[in-house]
Amino acid sequence: MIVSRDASGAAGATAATAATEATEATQDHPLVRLALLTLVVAVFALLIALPLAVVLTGAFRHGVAAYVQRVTDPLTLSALRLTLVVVAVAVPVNIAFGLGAAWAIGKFDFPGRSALVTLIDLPFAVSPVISGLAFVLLFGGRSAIGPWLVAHNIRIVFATPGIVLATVFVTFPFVARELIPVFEARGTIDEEAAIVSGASGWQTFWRVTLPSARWALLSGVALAVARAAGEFGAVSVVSGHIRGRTNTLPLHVEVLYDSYDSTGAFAVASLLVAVALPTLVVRWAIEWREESVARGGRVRDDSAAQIASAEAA
Amino acid sequence: MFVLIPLSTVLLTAWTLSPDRFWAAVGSPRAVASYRLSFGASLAAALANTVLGVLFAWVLVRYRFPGRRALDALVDLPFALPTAVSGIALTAIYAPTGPVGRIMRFPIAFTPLGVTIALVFIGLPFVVRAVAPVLAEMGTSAEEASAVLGATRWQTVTRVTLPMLFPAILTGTALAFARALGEYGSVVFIAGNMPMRTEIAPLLIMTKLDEYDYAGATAVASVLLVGSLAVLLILNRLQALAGARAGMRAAA
Amino acid sequence: MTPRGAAVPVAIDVRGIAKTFKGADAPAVANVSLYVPEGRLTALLGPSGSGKTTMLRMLAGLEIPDAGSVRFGDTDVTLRPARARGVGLVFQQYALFRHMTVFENIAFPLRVRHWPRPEARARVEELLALVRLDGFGPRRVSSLSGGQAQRVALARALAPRPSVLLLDEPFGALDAQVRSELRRWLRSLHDQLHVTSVLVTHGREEASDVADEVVVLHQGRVQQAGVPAHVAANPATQFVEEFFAGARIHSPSIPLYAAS
Repeated sequence: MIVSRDASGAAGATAATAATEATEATQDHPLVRLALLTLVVAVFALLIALPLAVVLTGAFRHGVAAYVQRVTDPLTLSALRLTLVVVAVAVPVNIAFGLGAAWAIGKFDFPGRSALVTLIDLPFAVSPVISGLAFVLLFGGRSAIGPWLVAHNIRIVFATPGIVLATVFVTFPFVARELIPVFEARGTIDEEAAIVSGASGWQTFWRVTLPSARWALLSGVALAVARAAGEFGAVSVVSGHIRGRTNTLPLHVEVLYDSYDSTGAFAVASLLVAVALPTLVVRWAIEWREESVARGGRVRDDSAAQIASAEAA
Repeated sequence: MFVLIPLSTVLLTAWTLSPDRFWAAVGSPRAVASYRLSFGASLAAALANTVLGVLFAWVLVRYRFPGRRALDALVDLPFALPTAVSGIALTAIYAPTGPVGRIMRFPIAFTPLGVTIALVFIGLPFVVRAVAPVLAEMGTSAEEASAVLGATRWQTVTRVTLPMLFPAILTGTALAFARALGEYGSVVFIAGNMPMRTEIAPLLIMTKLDEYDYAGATAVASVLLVGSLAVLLILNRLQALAGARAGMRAAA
Repeated sequence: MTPRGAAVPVAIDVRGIAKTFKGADAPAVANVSLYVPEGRLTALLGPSGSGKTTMLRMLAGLEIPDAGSVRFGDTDVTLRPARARGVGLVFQQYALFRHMTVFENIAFPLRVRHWPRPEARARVEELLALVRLDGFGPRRVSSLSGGQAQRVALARALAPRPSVLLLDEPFGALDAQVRSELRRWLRSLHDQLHVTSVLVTHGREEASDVADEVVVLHQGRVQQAGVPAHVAANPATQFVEEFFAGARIHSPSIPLYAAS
């Protein structure tokens, strides 16, 4: 197939930053550049930076003492605890599943493969409220299983398990989506080489497959954590808003906001921001690393492949 | 499997409702108003994001300036930020007492405009992240060829670069649109949620649930669900079509 | 470059051209002068890294030299942007526009010059016949083989009747057999059109098969220039001697091509 490719052939699948330098002929006119740059920075400041600033100023508007008081309020703390529990359960589940699915999809071809990919993307495209509703319908008092659950005193909806389930559902795609392109790009050569040199299935997975995708995995986990902690819509439906019992941090923010405690709301919101920002930092660090690797021309995490291919040669 | 069961439950439950109740709930003026708002605002926001997203991607990929990498990372903020946080922050900004709401002649918060702005906020990363990698990978060789062949910079960008980016732009816009349709947390605060005026479809569902109108909630939800699935399907088809025509693999 | 009439072949006169890229230890092109008479085909020959592609890009206007001058005929084009130079350039990787058909690709340089449609169409058909791809107009770029794609690229470069034709390892991405066929075909095309041409290559046989004159480059400097057989037989430097070792270069007394 005829493809027009740049001679540099930069490998990064997710890196949005390019190593290609524009030559004279392909550079925009300096005035154009200035105008576009200004426009973008202005939009960025207005649209993205401002909200962030507002949260931080709002939280501290009445001083640090008030902030601390809000944050250590017992209701806040129990919301925090619930959020942490949810994250601690949901994310590993999604890692396990994401790895498995991405591995299967990326490295093999099987009937129904593209259907599976679409399926994985579904929670992404569906409104979180609908997701939450689905679980209420499934496990709620009026569903098919409902009476059975009540009889056995198992509470799913309006209780922690329901929240966890809903969160798992909603954060489902994140890890898989990050991993699939990486696995697809590598194909099965590394694994085949490893198996030929005598490694067992497990060993191959741990020593060859995982390391090759560790950055994408990290990126996916960071996203999943941020989303799991911050999920609002689905959890809102499933939890029933019972203060102190089934409120996660985002729900607690809503509660505070609705009762006109804006300082409190922003204070708790800042806690959530503290979760989201590391996500961005992690991803920024990963891209920075990918960029410097691409520029340096040496791919360090290819060592497994290099050893394997050297042996296979 | 895990994904299918919950979603099909919604559809099945809707199916079991009597047709009258179903259509009553689905077709009520309030519901229709909410569809119109959700759909219209999402579309407007997605289109705005097309323009903004391409601009952002262009500047991030092609220009070098101090702070570029920071900007690149922060473009993801609307995506990583918990929706409730975005919601209250945006409301604070555009409310009549907020920094922007104060200087504007017309009200922004609690109007469809506010809803649209919130949707632009959360949709931006989708377009940027869809377009930027493709733009980066494309390199400049096609543009060089175009320049040598005698095209001006403007001709090159409009006849060569942008058409080549079209599949990625389409993907990003569709994703932003799909996300906007279902968005709840970021919008529900700034919308004000006045029925018939600023009530988005997801909120309508929530309200019905609060009223224990499970039937009504499910009915409206199923409409929204079918809509989202349709968008997803169309997106996939378009991706396949456009990707095949351009002779390159469409971004996953 | 004359817009619609026949192309006027010009001589290429390069004096003392140099280029160092940002962050590089050594200059890509150190101090190169060369002269290509009107209507002749010169090959820039050398291993990768010798600076030959940079030379070509400076001729095309894609890079601006740090020093020296480039003249096409009487005109100094050293600082002119690529768009205004009137050259045709064939890239190694074709650089065909994937989203356009073959016809649209070839018509592109004409469309951006606002040629009226009927004239543009006639010219494209003329070129398709020239490169022996009649009827390929509506085809998609992705359906072309390597050799076909390169011929389309050539047709596209020739469409606006450039006075200079530049080719950057045009057959590098093709397999050996296609390469030698196209090589011969390119030479006969040149004999037909007489456009002043510069071809970049790292293949010794290719250079001698196709070019009137060869300029051997190494590390950004000219090692030797002259008729291929002569250079091969009388290497001026050790590099040239080693470079041509073992090559079979035809001497000009053996006619390779029948007069067209």
